[in-house]
Parts: sequence; C-alpha cells; structure tokens
Amino acid sequence: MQAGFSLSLAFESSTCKHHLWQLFMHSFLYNRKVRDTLIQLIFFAVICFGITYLALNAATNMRDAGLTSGFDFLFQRAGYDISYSLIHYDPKTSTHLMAWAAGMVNTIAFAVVAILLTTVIALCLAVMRLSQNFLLSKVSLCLVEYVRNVPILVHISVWYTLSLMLPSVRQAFNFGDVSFLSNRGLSIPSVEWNYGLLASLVFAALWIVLCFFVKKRVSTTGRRIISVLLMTIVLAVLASLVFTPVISFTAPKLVGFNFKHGWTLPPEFIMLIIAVSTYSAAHGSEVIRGSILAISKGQMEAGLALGVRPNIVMNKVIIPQALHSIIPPMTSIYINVLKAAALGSVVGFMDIMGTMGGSSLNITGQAIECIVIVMVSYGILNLILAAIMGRFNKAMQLKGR
Amino acid sequence: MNHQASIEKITGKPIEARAKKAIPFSFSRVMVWIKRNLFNTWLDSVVTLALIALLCLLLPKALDWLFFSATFSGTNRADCAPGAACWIPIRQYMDYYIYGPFPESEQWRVNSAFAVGLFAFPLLFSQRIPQKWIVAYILVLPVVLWLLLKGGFIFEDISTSALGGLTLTFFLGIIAMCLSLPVSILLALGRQSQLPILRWACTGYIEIIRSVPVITFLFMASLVLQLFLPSGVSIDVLFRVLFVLIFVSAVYKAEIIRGAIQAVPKGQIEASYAMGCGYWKTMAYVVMPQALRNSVPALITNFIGLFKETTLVMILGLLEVMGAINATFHNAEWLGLHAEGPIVISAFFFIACFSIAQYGAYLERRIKRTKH
Repeated sequence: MQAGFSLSLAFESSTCKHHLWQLFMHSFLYNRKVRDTLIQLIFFAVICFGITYLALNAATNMRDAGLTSGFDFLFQRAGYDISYSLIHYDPKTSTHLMAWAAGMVNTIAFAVVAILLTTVIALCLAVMRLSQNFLLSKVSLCLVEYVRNVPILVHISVWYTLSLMLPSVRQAFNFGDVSFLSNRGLSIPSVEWNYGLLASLVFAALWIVLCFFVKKRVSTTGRRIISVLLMTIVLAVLASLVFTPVISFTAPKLVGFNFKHGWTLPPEFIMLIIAVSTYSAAHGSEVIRGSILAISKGQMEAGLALGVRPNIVMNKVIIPQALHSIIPPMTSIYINVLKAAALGSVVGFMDIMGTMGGSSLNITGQAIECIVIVMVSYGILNLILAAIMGRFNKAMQLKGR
Repeated sequence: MNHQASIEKITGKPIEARAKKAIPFSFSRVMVWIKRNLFNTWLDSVVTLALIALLCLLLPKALDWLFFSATFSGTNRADCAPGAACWIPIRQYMDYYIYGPFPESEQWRVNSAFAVGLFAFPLLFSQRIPQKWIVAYILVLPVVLWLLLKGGFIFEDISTSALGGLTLTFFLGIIAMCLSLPVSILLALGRQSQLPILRWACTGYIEIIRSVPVITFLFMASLVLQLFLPSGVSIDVLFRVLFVLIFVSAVYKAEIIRGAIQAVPKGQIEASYAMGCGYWKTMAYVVMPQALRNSVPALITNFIGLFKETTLVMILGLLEVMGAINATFHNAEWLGLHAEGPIVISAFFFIACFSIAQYGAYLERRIKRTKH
C-alpha cells in the first residue's frame, strides 16, 4: 500500500518536468523493497563494523599481554579450590573443564532445590493470603510485602549473618539423630543405590515395561502419576525383599570434631537457597493469588450450589483454570531463581559464574572465552528450564471443545 | 425546616438519604465479625489462637529490642545498652548514608537533585498536565541529575569516588530508568519489525541478555570491558555501571512494551496507514501513546526491580546506600553489631519500594477505570 502511495508521488513529480535522474532516484529511494533492504544493509554494516572494531582491539590487547586465544586452557590444571562441589574436584590435579563442570553441577543442584522450595513456599503463602482467617491472611500479607520490597542482596547477607551464629559441631541442633544443623552446615543421611550396573539396567527395563502396562490400564481412570508412583514403590519393596535393599540410608555421626558419613550441605549453600527461595516465593505467591482471584466467583458458587465440597471445587475447578495464567509468569520467576545462583559469589558459594567467570578468568586471563562459556552455559540451562515449563504448560492447557 | 420539607416534596426523597448512613457501633456486630473471620471452623480457631500466642511471645520482645531498651543517644560504643539495639552509629552517620562522601559545601546540589527527581511522581500523578510535558520532563531529568550530581557545564566536577550512599542509589536508579526507556522502545519496535535482520538482531539481543544474570554483566564491565577498548582509553566505573544497568533493564522493559504494543488493536494501525501516515508517524501518534500509558504500572514494577538491583554495584566497590551502611558497621568501633545495619537497609528499601508499588497499583486502577 505504501509502495503504491510513493509511486503515485513519483509519478506526480514526473509531470512537473523533473530531471530524469531525480525521478529515478526518487522512485528508487521511495520503493519500499529497496528502502527496506538498504536500511537492513546499513544496520548490518554498522553491527559488523562495531564487532570487528572491538575484536581488533581485543586482538591487539591480547597480543600485547602475551595471551593466545583458544580453548586450550580448559585442559590445563585449574589450581584453585572450590569450597563446595558435588562432583569430585581436586585443586591439585583437576582442570578448568572440571571446575566448569563442578560449577555447572552446583548451579543445577541449587536451582532444583530452590525451585522446589520456591513453589512450596509460594503455595503456602498464597493459601494463607486467600484464607478466610483474617489474622492468617494479614500475617501472610506482611511477610510477602516485606520480603518482596527488600533487595535480594540484603536477604542473602541477613541469612548469611544468621548462619554465622549457628552453634559449633558439638552443640549442633539435633533432628532426631538423623540430621544435624551446625556452623559446618546441615548434615543429612546419605542415600546409596545398592545395585550394580547390570541389575540396575534390569530394574530400569522392568520399570519401563510396567509403566507402559500402567499407562494402558489407567488411561480410563486418569490417575497416572499416582499409579506410577505406587507401582515404583511396589517394585522397590519386592526387589528389596527378594535381593538386597534397593537403597539404604546412612545417618551422619559425630566423630571427633566433624560429622562422618552422610551428606553435609555447607551453610552458605543452605542460606543462599533459603534467601533466594523466600524472595522468589513472595513474588510467586502474588502470581498465584492473582490468578486464583481472576477466576470468576461464579465458578466457586456454581460448584458449591451443586453440593460439592469447597476443597474439591478448589482442586478440580478453580486450580486447573488458574494454572494457565500461573505457569508463564512462574517460568520467569524460576529463571530468576536459576540466575540468582550467580549471587552465591557474595557468600562464597561457587556456581558457573564463580568458577568459570570468576576464578578461571582471573587465573588464565582468557576473558572472552570464559565469558562466552558462562553465557552459553546459562543460555542452555535457561532453554532446558523453559522447555520443561513449556511442556508442563501444554499438558495443563484446557482441552478445547 | 420549611425549605427542607419543600425539597423533600419535590424530589420525593428524604434529604439525609444522600449522606451515607453511619451504622451504629454495637458489641454484637463486633462479635459476629470475630466469629466469622477468626473462629469460623475449629481449624480456624486453632490457627488464630496459635498466631495470637506467637505474636504475644515475639512482638513485645522485638519491640523492646528495637525501641524500648534500645540506645538512641550517645557518642561511643560504651553507651550502648547490652541486649538491645544500638542506634548511635545510624544517627552519627546519617549524613554519610544520604550524601556519601559528597563535598559538604556542595550538598545543596544533592538536595535539589532529590527534589527534582521526586517531583516526577506528582507529575505522573496529575491528570491535568499534558503528556508532552511529562515526556519532556522525563527526557530532561537525567541531564539535570547528571549536571547536579556529577558536574559539568557550569557546575564543578565531582569525582566518582565522592558519590555514595543514597545519592548514588538515587542517581543510578533514576538515570538508568529514564535512559533505558528510549532504548527499550527501540528494542520492542525492532522485535516487532517487518525487516528480518532487524528483528533477528533485536530478538537475539533480548533473549541472550535475559538468560544471563546481571551480575555477570557487571563483572564484565569491571574486568573484561578494558580488553575491548583501544589501549590507553579507560571509562569511568560509574559510566560502565550505568551502561550495564541501562542496557540490561532495557531488555525487560522492551518485553513489557512489546506486550502493550501487541495489545493495541490492529485495526488502528491499519487505519493509520490507510490515512497515509508512515511507520514512524503511526508508531509515534497512534500506537505508542496508548501502549506506553497501558504499560505504566508494569514499568513501575520494573523500576522497583531496577532500584533494588542498584545494590549489586556494591560488588564492584561502589558504596551505594547498602554499601555505605555496611561500611560503617565494619568500622572497628561498631564491629559486632550484626542486626542494626540490615534492619535499617531493609526498612529504607521497604518504605521506598512499597510506596512506589502502591502508586503503581493506584495508576493501574485508574487505567482500568478509564477503560471501561
């Protein structure tokens, strides 16, 4: 439409006895396709020029500093310690690649635990806020408003300061002799898988076969998750009775000045998780509350008028509809949780940003490579999280009539 | 009396009926309210009683620690009462928290900067002032703040190390907010554009920045940026931090504005094209006024996030309000007072962010009212 408009303009100008060249340029520049291509070419050229300029500068600077670009440094000895790592990492022998892996595993572990905790706390806060009980709803309101409006860095430093006040190992808080909380962190029982590789494979194959069987059976009743869980438990109990126990727990035990056996989560890890998940849960509870309130009141009233109990109306009518509008904003909250792992560097918990983007970068000086690795790692983690949530969202969509 | 009776005759209504009738206070009504809202079921009663017990246990202790037994006046550590809060350092360093190390003779500049910045809120609040003026004010605001706080032109230059405390938080928050708006509008338009290269570039930029933590970019600005500059050139740390805050928060704003643009009915854009308006005229006079007005509440929420995010510059060694307060408690004399600093910081941020959020909620209600 615009092209036609400009052509007619060009035509008018030709009747005014303009120069032929001017006419050509006029119609040329006002041609939409030509103009769009020109604009894009200029834009592309500017971006290419900028990137080349920066790259040339970087190349000169790196040559002056005696650095060579490339990813060879990944296989060199890292030589720095990571305060807490879930995989085996030895500062004396491990490479930068191992440091990256340790950071990645730390990030994933943090994200999984913090996201689960965020969901649970957010649900609790939202239920409290929506409660009929005046006092309970106001307590939730105060908590949510306080936590939301204070920067996350303040939360982290407050919880970190609290963790410094934890008692020593000898006076640790004792939770029924199975887990302990002290200034060394939270000691919990470790879980061990007692089967070898072959037996595990057989076990997995059996499980998958049974899953298919269950899927067929319950397609009419629809309670798939519960059925699969039940079946897994039955399978595990059967295997434990016939052979050795499938999994076994080992409780931490105080030996000398430290806990032996079990798993010990360091205080900075726990406090970071608490700080981040309470902060995101405060945001999440507002999302959940808003979505539930947005469901028309008539739905609840109709359910009650049919004589259905309020909690069943909530679970079967209100929540499935609210989930639509809950999942997309919750996804961005979860992505924020994942990114908050980088704030661990403030309290000494090292994620990818702490290992690859911090210590490795400082030691090797390979700034560009390290930053690229960090960005790509975060990008991949984000994509995975977004894909999982997208799948979940699709499953929760109301089936159209 | 006669007059009133005649009005009643004309209107057929008693004259008092217009005023809201005050319902008399009665004990039974209060009891009904309590029964309904606190003791509806047995579970409700248990929860209420437990909460009351918890509050009775904690509140007096907390209030006592915070106010009644706390020390407010004094000069040194010895004046602090044991087992209660000690507010002496807060009172002593109040000026430092607000002005930072800003030269004392120039503090009027900080005061006027606060006044100019805070004036933006009543301006947004008013419905009578034309939108043009508000936009002009938002565009001029960063320049004025820069002149007042950083210097230049007729004002004396202030070095970056002299900026700190609330002044720096305010400076970073407001300038980053005002300057990231135009960037975000361009990004949102670019992402919606018909031109593929432009659209891919903007989408790629937005998605990459969104998936990486801000702290990574702050570290990059402090450690890596030097590598990309010609040797001998260095950029002031304040510029670098501002640059990061502007170009990162613009991404989140771009997504907000994109949503608002998509909500503008397509027929309006087509009508504008049919009238012979070009792309820029359509965007400037038809789409943007509506889209921006509808995205104001979300932009205010974004501003709160940005305001809280300014605390991250502490990691780079800039002493904004949180860094300034922490620094005084690292002072040898006040070492060991753990709780007072965080309490003051959270109180400050709570009051600031909560009031801005209430303002955003008010604007949202107003927009909804004018829509229907």
